Amino acid sequence: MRSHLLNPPPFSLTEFVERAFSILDVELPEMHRRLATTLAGVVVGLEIDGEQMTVSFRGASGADPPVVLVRSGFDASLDARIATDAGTILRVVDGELTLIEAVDQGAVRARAELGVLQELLAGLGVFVHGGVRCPTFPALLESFRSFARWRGAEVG
Amino acid sequence: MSGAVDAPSFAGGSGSSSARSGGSGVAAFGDGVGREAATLISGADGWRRSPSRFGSWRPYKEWQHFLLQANARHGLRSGGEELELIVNFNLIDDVWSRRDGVETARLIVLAQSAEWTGVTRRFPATQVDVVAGRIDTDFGCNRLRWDGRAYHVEVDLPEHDLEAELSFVPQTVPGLAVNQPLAPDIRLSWFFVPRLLASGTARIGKERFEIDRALAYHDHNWAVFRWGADFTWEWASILPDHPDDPWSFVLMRLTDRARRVVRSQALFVWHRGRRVRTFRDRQIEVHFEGRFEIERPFQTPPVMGLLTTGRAVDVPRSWSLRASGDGERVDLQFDPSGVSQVVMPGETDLERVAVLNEVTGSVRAEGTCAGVTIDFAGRGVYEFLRT
Repeated sequence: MRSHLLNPPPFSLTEFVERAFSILDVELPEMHRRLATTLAGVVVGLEIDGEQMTVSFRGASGADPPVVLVRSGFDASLDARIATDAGTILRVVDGELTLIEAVDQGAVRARAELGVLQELLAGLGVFVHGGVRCPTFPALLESFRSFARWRGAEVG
Repeated sequence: MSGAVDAPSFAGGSGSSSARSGGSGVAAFGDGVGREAATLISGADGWRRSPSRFGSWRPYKEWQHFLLQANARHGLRSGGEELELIVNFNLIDDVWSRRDGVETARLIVLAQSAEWTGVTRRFPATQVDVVAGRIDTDFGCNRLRWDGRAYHVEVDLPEHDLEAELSFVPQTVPGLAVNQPLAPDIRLSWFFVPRLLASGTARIGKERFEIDRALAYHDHNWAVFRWGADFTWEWASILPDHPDDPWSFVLMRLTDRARRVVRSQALFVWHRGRRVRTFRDRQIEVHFEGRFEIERPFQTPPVMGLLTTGRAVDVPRSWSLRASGDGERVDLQFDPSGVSQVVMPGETDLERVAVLNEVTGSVRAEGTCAGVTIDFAGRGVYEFLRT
């Protein structure tokens, strides 16, 4: 684990999301590239516990590397909006809830054209495949768990 | 499967005389077997450790594995109706953190009483104490010890509601199979004790168990390979329900990843304390039927559930085996009753996983071996590796 990737620790949910992509870029750049390529051009408005952020993806272009950008707030134009809460994210990661169950229960709400949703699902798979291989992700997850507990989320 | 060695033949005499202990009526297979097993274990079951410690990084993997099966009729003095417990101490050269040059230590515990539960817990190097050549192991407060007569396993994971203190006393002379061909360029070595008696206590969630001489299995594997390479394996431990029944079986099948070619297979047969027969390759026919339907098998680590179908699509509804040769025959019928899955990131493809399906169920065994009739009902754990 590269502890410097968690220093300073994330202070907001937006920083957690940004840090996850940064760790992926450092520790498994091939999966970061695949993620950016899979979702190239897609702009997602992500809301976790009411905190809004925009995640945009750009594939490699010429000499420019693939990029995943995370910004606070929603952009004016979004291809998709996804809303959930930290407790649900942890329940899915801990296997207490499947993603389908979370959507069925309204704990994850997604709005986009069908094609974009399919791309996002594929991108989620790439992200999780990358995350389970990154040595620093377990520590990031535990940091997220502590942060969520501090924020008052219902976590395990 | 060549190369498996132990005491070469079944014979009567001091190595196989039985003695009944008092309260539980459990037969022991003679002090001769116990001493021979202890000598072999002391000499051959120590950790090998990875060569990466000397700067030669390869994807080395090694584990010490314990399995016990107990029920209210035999082996469980108190607690529920049945208990199956798997404890696996493993050390691997993590493909994804190879720059650190330190083996990754994980403890995998799977337990089934009313339902499956378990955990995969990783330990930092500062909490790991393993010495090459020795069996004694510390992963945090979780321990394995060998005292020259018995293994002792401690599981201390209260945050996961899993605790156990167990001793495992070998009842058979172990087997050792080195450099078995997983694939043309991959070799696996394997030390195994097919039958032990486990005693102690366990806490699984809110349930507490007292275990008294339940039948158990132990093995120790080491090899250099990547999950996802061109191989799969199927392995089974088969033990009778009644501890007085003298038979123990271990099955190993190695195939290519697509399961089109069986590269080697063997059924090892122990009677009382000693191996009396090994059936190999063309002497064994295995038939699988249907698919075991289970809505959502227990999976560990849970996050890997996001990368799987959530079903045990590769587990058969039942399987049967016939091993025959030289006038001897063993017929086994295995009917699964439960599945749990250990899911690992693939190491040859970044978007694939490797799944170890741990399947428990009932077994019916019939046949004749070493001039003795085989006829028992028992329990088995069958492991299907799928990548």
